[in-house]
Amino acid sequence: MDALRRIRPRSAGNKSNARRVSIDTVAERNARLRGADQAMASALEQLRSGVPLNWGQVEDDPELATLARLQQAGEECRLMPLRVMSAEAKEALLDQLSGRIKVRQRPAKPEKVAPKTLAGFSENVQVLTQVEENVAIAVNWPRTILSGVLVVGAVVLAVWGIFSLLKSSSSPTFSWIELHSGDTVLNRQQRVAGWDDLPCRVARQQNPTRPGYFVPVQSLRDAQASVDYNIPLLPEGISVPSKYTFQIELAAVDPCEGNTIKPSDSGALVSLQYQAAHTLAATTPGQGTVGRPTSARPGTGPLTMLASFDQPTVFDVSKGSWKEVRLPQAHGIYWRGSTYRDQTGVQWVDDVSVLLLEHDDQIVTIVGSNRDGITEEMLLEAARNISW
Amino acid sequence: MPIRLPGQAKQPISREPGLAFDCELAGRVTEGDPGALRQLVDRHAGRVANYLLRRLGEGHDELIDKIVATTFAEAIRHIGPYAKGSATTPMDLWLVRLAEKSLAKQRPAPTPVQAQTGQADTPSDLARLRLAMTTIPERQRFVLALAIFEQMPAHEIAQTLPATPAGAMRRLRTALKGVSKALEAQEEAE
Repeated sequence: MDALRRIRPRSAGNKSNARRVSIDTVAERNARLRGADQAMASALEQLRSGVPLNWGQVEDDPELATLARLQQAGEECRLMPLRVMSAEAKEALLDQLSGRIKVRQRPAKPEKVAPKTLAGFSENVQVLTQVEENVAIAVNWPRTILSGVLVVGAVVLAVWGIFSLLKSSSSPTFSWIELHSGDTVLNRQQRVAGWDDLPCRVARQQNPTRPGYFVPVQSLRDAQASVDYNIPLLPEGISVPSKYTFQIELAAVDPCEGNTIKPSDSGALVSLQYQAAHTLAATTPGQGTVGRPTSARPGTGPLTMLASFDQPTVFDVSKGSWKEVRLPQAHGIYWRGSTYRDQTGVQWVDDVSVLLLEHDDQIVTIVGSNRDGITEEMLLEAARNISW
Repeated sequence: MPIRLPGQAKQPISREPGLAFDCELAGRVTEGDPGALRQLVDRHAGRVANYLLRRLGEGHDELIDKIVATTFAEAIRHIGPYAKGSATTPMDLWLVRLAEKSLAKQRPAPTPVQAQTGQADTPSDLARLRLAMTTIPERQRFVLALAIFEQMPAHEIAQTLPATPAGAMRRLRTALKGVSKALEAQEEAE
């Protein structure tokens, strides 16, 4: 009785808790349609159940009117005698289809056959399963490919490392230029044996910072007469990276011995003071010009070229950055640093560019300031056009 | 209605009662079971053939046999979803769709109205309809055949096409509009 009392009557409002079974009726499906689609679906269902469409349904719907009109044809079609496949046709069809499903059959896996006992061994001896027997013999392609990639990567890394080591260890080779970084010589020497080691040359090599004693000459012809080698000259102008013109303003000679210029002195140094006129910005006012020739005009910059012959030339690169340069006719270095004292005793400050080249047995040093437009690109272009 | 024996587990109610059995047969067919293939053909070959008969009319026996064979060959090639049990369209509707595709590829010549009816002077409504159907696109022809010849409800038409029920009804309206014009043209010509 207690159990019966716990049953709530249906009128108590438990209608929502009643179990609903999902029955997907045609009416439910058609109810999801709207408007004309629902009308068409309902008409199809009505005709299917044998009830013709009434006038109210079709008067405002020409498609439903057509549907109603076609019902006679539909009924006629449904009355056609059903076609039964003949046994022969069915067998032919099955034969044809059987061939297709045989193709789709998976190939049967070959059964493992117990290996036969080798001659001389007894089958009665129990052989326990060895670990090696479980090792898969098939090639593991992903693992193989991964191993291959790793090996190739290691080889590439090794080759790259060797090349990098060789490149870093390779130092430039010069005949007359000696690159120093402090007490360390950075380049290899490949000098012709039996060169004339004049005392002045040795002295300049041993004390590269000592300025020479340059005697001004009246003309370039006088300078050329005082040395026994051709004095290399800058071109009159270049057009790369912009238009530059070079004009010699001063020529001076540092004799090998004493302070007196001698004719055809092979150990003498020649200093040529150029004025490089260009289209770049001129020297900024207020910049330090310590030791710089004071004749600089806006749009122009001083350029010093020092020439020597068979002269070992020591250059300390420790106070700036340098790199080896190779030109069609010369080989040397380009250095850029904050300060540099050239062989004439001039102290260049701020951003200084130095191009040190050797051409056969001739050595040329070109010095200028980047702020005056004497850049690496300009120096290299000028050096390419030097008349040696 | 199948009789459930006492103690037998209650099977879930399937919306498409034959679909589960068709899926089972399809699975066995993919495994190469010839018995399952025979059962599948027995179950659906008649449906496909009669659809084609109503669609084409009498006098196309050879073509119907050919299309039935093509339909089942195509079905075997694409039976995977049924074998996996992931198909939702009843197999007979799917086969009707495949048969219609095969029929569209065959493109049979329209049969003269008189030859279909057998009466030289009074063509039947069915013959007129078949002739009018040749003037509408194949997609509309298919939906019209499903609605008029097969008397399918909306959701079955949608499953067969395949389309949404609303899309199927819109396509049916377009087909009815087209065939109505063709019938009017026939009447004017007579």
